[in-house]
Formats: sequence, C-alpha cells, structure tokens
Amino acid sequence: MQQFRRSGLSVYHSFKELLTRVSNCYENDDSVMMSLRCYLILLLFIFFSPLQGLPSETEKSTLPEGSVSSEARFYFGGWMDLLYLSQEQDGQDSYLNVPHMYAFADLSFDEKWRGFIEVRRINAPGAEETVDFERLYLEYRHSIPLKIRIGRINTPAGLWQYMHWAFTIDSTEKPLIEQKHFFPTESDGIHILGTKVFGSKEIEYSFFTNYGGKNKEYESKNELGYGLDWSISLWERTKTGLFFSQFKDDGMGHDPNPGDRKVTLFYNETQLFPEKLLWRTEYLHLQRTGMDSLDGFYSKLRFNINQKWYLNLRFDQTEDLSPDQNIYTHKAHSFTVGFQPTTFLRLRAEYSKQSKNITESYEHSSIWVGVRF
Amino acid sequence: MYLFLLIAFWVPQHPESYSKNDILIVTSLSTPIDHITRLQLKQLYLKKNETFHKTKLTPVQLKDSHPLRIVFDQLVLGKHFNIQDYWIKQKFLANEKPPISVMNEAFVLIFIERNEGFIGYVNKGLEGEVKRLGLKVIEVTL
Repeated sequence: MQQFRRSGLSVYHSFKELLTRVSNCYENDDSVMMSLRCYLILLLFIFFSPLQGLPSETEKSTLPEGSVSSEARFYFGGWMDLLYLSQEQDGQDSYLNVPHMYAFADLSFDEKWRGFIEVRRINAPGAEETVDFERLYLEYRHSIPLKIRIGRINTPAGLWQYMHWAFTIDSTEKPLIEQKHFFPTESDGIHILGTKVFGSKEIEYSFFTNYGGKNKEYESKNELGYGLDWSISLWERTKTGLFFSQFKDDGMGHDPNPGDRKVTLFYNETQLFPEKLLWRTEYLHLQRTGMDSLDGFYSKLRFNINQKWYLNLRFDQTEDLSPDQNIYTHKAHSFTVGFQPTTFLRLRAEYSKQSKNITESYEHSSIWVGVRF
Repeated sequence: MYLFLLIAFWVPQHPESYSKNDILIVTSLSTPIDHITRLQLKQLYLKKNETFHKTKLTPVQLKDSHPLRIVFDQLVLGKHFNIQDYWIKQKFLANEKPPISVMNEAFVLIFIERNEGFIGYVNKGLEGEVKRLGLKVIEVTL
C-alpha cells in the first residue's frame, strides 16, 4: 500500500513537471522547430517518467507467467502525420507540413482506476499552431455499463467527433459540420459513459456536464454545459443515435458568433454489406441565442475493397453565417482512396470540391500519410 | 508440464485446415454456463459485454498470428471484420483493452484452469486434455 502511495505521489509530480515543461515550451518560442523539440522532450519525458516504475497492482498471482501480450498496465502511444494540400482558392498557398503530432499515456492503477493523458501539437492549414492537452482525466471503471471520467474529455457527440483523430478517420477533410466548430470539441468536467447489451441490441450512452469547454478554432470558454449522447446498435448492422447538448457562452472567447447554443445531432451508420459497404449520415441542428438556427449534414459511403484498401465518397451541406451575418450554404463533395499497409501506417489521396452560394467554387486535393507508434 | 511441452512444440495447422467443428469453447467446471451463442462470444471478445447469466466472464485468446485465432475471429466476428483496426480505435478512445492474448493453446487451458470465470478456445484435438484438467466444453450456437 505504501509503495502504491509513493507511486501516486510520483504520478502527481510527473503531471506537474509535464505541465510546466509544456507551458514553458509553448511560451518561449512559437516556431515549428521549437514545437518539434518540445514535443520530443515530452515524448522522452513520458517514456522515461517514473510512471513506468509503478507497482503491479493489477497482476494476478494466479496467472501463468510469461506469454501474455496484452492487458498492459501502462500504455504509451502516439501518432503523427504529413499532409500535402493543393488548394485552388484565391490567396491560399499549397501546404506541406506536419499538421498533427499526438502522444498519449494510459496508466491503469488497478482494475477500477486509470489515468489518461494526451498531448497534441496542431499546425493545421489556416490555423495557428497550438500545443496543449486534448485529454487529461481520471477514470473509475465500475463495469462496462458504467464508467466515470473526471477531467478534460472529448465532447462525446455522434460518430465523427467521437473518432475524430486524423489517424482513425476515413478522410482528410473534416465534415463541414465539424469544420464549423458549432460546439466545443473538448469539455472540462464529469463524463459518465457505458455500453449495455440486451440480446442482439447494444445501447451506448454518454452524459457529461462541464464547467469550461474548449473549441479548437475560437477558443471559446463556456461557463456551463451539459450533453447526452445515446445510441442503439441492432442486428450487428446498424447504429442510430441522438446527441443533445446545451452550452452557455461567457463571451470571453473569440467566436465571431457568440451566444448560448443548443445542439442536436442525429446520426445513423448502417453496414449495407457487412464490413464491406458502410453508409453513414450525421445531421446537426444548432440554435443560438438571438440568431437564426442553422442546419447541416453529411452523408458518406465507405467501400472496403479488402482489409488494406478502401474508397470513401462523401457529400456535405451546411448553413453558416457570413461576416455580414447573413446565412449562406456551404456544400462539399469529396472522394478518398485509403491504403492501410500495416497497423502503423496509413495513406490517403483525396479530392474535394467545395462551393458556397456567396463565392465561386474551389477545389482541394491532398496526399496524407499517418504513422502510429 | 508435459502438456506444455507437448503443445509448445506442436506445429499448428494452416487456418484452411480448420472448420467450425474443430473449435472447442472451454471454461472451468465452476463457471455456471453451459451454452453460449456466437453473438455473445463476439460481444465478449470485443469487450462489449462481460456478464452472461449474472456470471462475469474473462476471455482469453490466442495471439493474432495463430491459425486457430484466425479461424475463430472469422467465424465469430465475421469474415471481413478488421479486428486490428477495432482495437486501434479502442486504444485511441482509451476504452476497453483487448482480451489477454497467449502464445498457444496450452496457456489457454492453464489460464482457464487457474482462474474462475475465464473462457477460451482450443482445437478439438485437445478434448482429452480439457477433461484431464477438469475443465468443460461449452456448447456454441454459431
């Protein structure tokens, strides 16, 4: 027990030092090379941190020694990607850079408690470079149907946001309803989630309440928010769900369209041919204080040629507010060819054509390579 | 011990040489379950569910290159199911961890013998060993 307490202290000091190092790195220099250096320091720090010396609380004496290749009590991982983006748009240059670098550490204290930390560096086209924590929480796992997380979490909303990392999604361009940042993508608060099986039906739920949310683009700080995501999967083929949330805006962020928000997201995912052809749709309805409501959706088909190659076809349409506060419609068509030669490497080639009813249409094409470690 | 030596040096067959009738689902005698469906096995091995008939089950699987694992995954999860992709996503989400993976069927049997509520699969040729160790075979509806 004493050893466990000592380890708890070392975890606390590790987090503290990590926070200091990340913030120092970011404040002292904002060049790309410095960020890369900060990131490497972070990786080295996590890799050689005292976390790895924790006692084996989860090991069962009854298990045979050796030969076990999973159930690690400490897992460290990460990924990064390289993007070449050619843009046919006025004032936009082509882009070749490393848009994302992520590192995460997952530490199981015992069968019930775990800590999770994820640090990211984002240098996406058209956005400022940032280094910060995407997730940082403590989890209590009562059972598969009931888990409680406290800290910074990804806002659990629908299908795409739930699995939004460039390494795990099918396309390079985000769906428009995600690009517009209609709601905070991260929430600081309490998250209760779980999966319950009833015969061939699976019910998943997520409830969160937060004091402080973060939106990648506008850095909105919301005073209070809550949300519920509920889905049902039937016959191993289809998953249908609904997300509802409400966020109160304190007006401290840089969002050009501030105000309290109510977001409703309906989603469905169906395996038209099991594990071969997938059809997915997400529809979003946004209400904001003192403004007209906005609607948007995307619908996509993914065809798995085999376990390594796939094709992805997507249509997006959403409403948004122009700088002069008029509602306009934004549409996008995109086609992606994906290749996953190993579990550590992914490649994508994508073509996208976008149009707004207030400007001329334009095209994007991109090559993306992602590496997991 | 001789069981371990016997199976550790046993050369596994190719996946094509197995059929669904060659797989035995095994657990300890004290586990109060005699029957399980393919869907329940899928939910168990994907960590969607861990309690069946009020009994907590812990799955044990063979390492992913083992021929019997390949056949089991195809039969239970589906021919085109990308299991590696599934667990990568679960890692990103910091959700459930994959089931315990072991080198060979000897370890599957040892794990089950020593731990109540553990469940695993071995090839039918080991039915004698299963009985000798005091384990039982569960009937499966595929």
